[in-house]
Amino acid sequence: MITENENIVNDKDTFLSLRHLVKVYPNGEKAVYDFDLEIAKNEFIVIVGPSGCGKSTTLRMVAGLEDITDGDVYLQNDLLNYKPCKDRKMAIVFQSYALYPQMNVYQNIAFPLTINKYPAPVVNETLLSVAQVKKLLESIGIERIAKAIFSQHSKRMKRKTLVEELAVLLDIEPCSSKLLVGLFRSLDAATKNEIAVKKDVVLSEWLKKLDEKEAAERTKLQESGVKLNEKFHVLNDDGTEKIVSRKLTRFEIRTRVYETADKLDLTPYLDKLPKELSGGQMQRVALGRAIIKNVPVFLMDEPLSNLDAKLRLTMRSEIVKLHNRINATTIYVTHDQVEAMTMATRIVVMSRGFVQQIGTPEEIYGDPVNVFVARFIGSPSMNVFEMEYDKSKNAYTYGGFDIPASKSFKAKYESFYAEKCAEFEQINANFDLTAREKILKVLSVLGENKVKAQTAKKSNLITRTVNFFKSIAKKKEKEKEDVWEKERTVAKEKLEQLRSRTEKGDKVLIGIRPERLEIEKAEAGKKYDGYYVVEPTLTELLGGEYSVHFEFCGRNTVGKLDAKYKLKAGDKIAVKFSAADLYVFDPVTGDVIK
Amino acid sequence: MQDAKIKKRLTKSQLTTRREKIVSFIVLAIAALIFVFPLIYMVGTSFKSDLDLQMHPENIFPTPGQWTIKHYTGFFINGDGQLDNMPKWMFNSLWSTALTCGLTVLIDLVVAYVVVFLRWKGKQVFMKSLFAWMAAPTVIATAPGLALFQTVKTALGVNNFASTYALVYFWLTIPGIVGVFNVILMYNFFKTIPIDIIESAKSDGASHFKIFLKIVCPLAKSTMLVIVLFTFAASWNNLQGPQLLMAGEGQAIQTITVALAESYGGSSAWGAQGVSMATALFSLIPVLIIFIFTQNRMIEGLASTGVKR
Repeated sequence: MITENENIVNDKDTFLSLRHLVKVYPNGEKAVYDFDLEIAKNEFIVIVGPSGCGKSTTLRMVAGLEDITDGDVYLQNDLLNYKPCKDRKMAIVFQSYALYPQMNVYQNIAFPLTINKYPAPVVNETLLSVAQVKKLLESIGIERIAKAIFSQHSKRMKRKTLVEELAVLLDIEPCSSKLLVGLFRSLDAATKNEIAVKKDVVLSEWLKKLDEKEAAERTKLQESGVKLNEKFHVLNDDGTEKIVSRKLTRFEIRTRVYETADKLDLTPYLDKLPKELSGGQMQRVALGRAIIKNVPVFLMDEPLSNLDAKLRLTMRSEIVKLHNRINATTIYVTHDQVEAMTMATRIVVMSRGFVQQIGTPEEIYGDPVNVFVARFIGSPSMNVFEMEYDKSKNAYTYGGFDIPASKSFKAKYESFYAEKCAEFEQINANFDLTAREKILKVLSVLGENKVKAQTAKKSNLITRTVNFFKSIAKKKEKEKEDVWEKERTVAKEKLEQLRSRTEKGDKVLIGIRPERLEIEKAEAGKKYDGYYVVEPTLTELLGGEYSVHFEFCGRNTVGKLDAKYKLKAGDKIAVKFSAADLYVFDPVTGDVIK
Repeated sequence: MQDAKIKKRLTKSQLTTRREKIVSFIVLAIAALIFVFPLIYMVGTSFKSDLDLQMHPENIFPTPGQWTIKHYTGFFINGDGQLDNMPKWMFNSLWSTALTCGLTVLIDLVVAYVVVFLRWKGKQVFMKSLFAWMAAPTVIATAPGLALFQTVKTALGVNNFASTYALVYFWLTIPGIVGVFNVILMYNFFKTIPIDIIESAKSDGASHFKIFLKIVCPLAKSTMLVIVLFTFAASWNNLQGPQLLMAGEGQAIQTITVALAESYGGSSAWGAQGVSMATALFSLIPVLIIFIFTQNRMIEGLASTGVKR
């Protein structure tokens, strides 16, 4: 309990807190490993990763659509784990929009309001309406009120609709406009037509009626002992406003739906069915349904991936604007790194259930912690190639071409490997669950031989029964069997690889962003010292610049060259790799060496 | 003159389509005639006079000049000025069929919802046993059902008309509502509803009851109509079950099908044949009405339940 209190003190500015979330599916597959993130208010968090990396699962756990296997979700220090999703104060937008096909746009947007109850103060409508009507008679006069009623009335509508329209027009509560319409209807036809002439008579008559009504209500209240405050809200015995959970009235729903539709330019489509809308409009309806709930947290599960490229671009900025306007806190899931870079205040990069890096877009782009993040973020993606690190020369070499390393690199290199060796020795010495997960994470970074989690294969009833009996028979044998055999071997291999490289320099992964390669057009006869001169394998003109592909260290490498240099077939280019722009990764663990 | 000629000339493909149309029309017309023939004969016979019935049973329609509506006249009030049995039979058939339809749809909706949208252990086993159940012919339940009915009847001491009536109709409607085929039809439809919609409703704050009522049921309208039509036809035409249960209980308890089969079928009087045909025609009216209202939805529903995913 003490730790709990500490947490609360520490997270003063934390709004939504996801603590060590773990998801294991019923079939034994682990989808999310230790997702830990503290989110401040108004942050736009983007979770990005290739498909099947557990990003949607994480979102669904936060939303309450998926059970949380381990870990906690807190919203303003309020534990959400065991709350149903409707009580979590969150709105979800799905990739498929999930609009209700049988309802029109209005009903779709209004749906959350129609089925929930909301706390509201109890208002004495009689007194409120009398006060409002009196004020109205004073301020704008009887003539204009009559005009307003006439202008609405002529449309031959139901009384209820008339009351609502009038309430909107005069900006009063519907109970007040109801009273007004009642007063107006009690007049005879002749007076109605000559209201300008007889306005003083009518006014005094109305005021008398209103006074009578108010007096009657006041005595009634006194008899029953109900107290009101100046806003005509009913008070409790201790002087606070009485709050009752109730359904919203039709009028309240209508105003809010129109307000929301207005924000999203959906007003012309309110009576259309979802199937009559375009993708972008459907998307906006889904957003509207989320906004109208007026909740602090928005969860979006790849909301733009069903849209075409151009619309995606506009909707992207729309969503960010919307996020800022309504002061929401958003968690946004996508597989598109461009979306992540442009929208996020912070990015979470995931792969195979592991969080690889959490940081601002600048951090993720400029300072990737491992080779996975480096390759995943950026378009076109980072060039990564294998070179040898020569300790004596302090340079990376490949086939006689040297790139000098920065001066301090040697020390970094040595300390990095000393540290890693120690870590892996520890792992091998005590191979427990956390050690195994470390190995799995290393594999997820490198993207190599995925160790199969124990997944139950889909099988029919008969094989399942047979397997069940077999498993009983084999139970004792199974205990002896090493279920982590593969992971153990991997750990041993990795340790050996790490050890072997501490003595002399060895292969490292060098990464450089295409936009950081310094490329020039090589001119015949000129000497390029420290440059790599090569004939491009492919050049693509992208308008303002060329995207130049060339062979380097046996890998296809991409760079950019300004289009003012006219490249022809057979032309050569000179490429310079400056040490400051290089990222060096360890090929054994995939981590960055710095 | 020339212009007209040019207009009339059809392309080869148009000629082929026309030929195909003509051939298919002829084939379908013959097929339709074969199907409809008994119905036409029934309509014709119901208008024949007693003499015609006796002399010319081979004619489809009455001899010209001998048309009569006399078989229809005794439907509501019989010759003695009493209420005829006909309205009673129609009423029995109608309410029991309506009840069966309503309960069937309700049960199917609830079962399918529980199986598709709720998580519980043994769901797979439940569905598999449902499929297995479908393989068992319904006829095998007849004999044990009847034996059970007799036992219950004796045990409850049912002897007067009202209690017999209640028991017989309870026995007819309740087992009728658990048609496995309908449940599976509904189950298949529910599986096509994207789970996102349900989850979205959940996060909007809807309880299961609200989701069922406001989201799922409106979507299932066409499947519901298909089930109504199937159940209505099955229940309205049901002969064997009611016949067994109502044996020797008098005419007032009977449904229209039982009455048609027993009261007229067994009789040898020539006149009875005309009345029988008229009654049969009359008993078709509810089926026709239901069909007219549900046919479009039914075709749509069958297509969507059968093809989608």
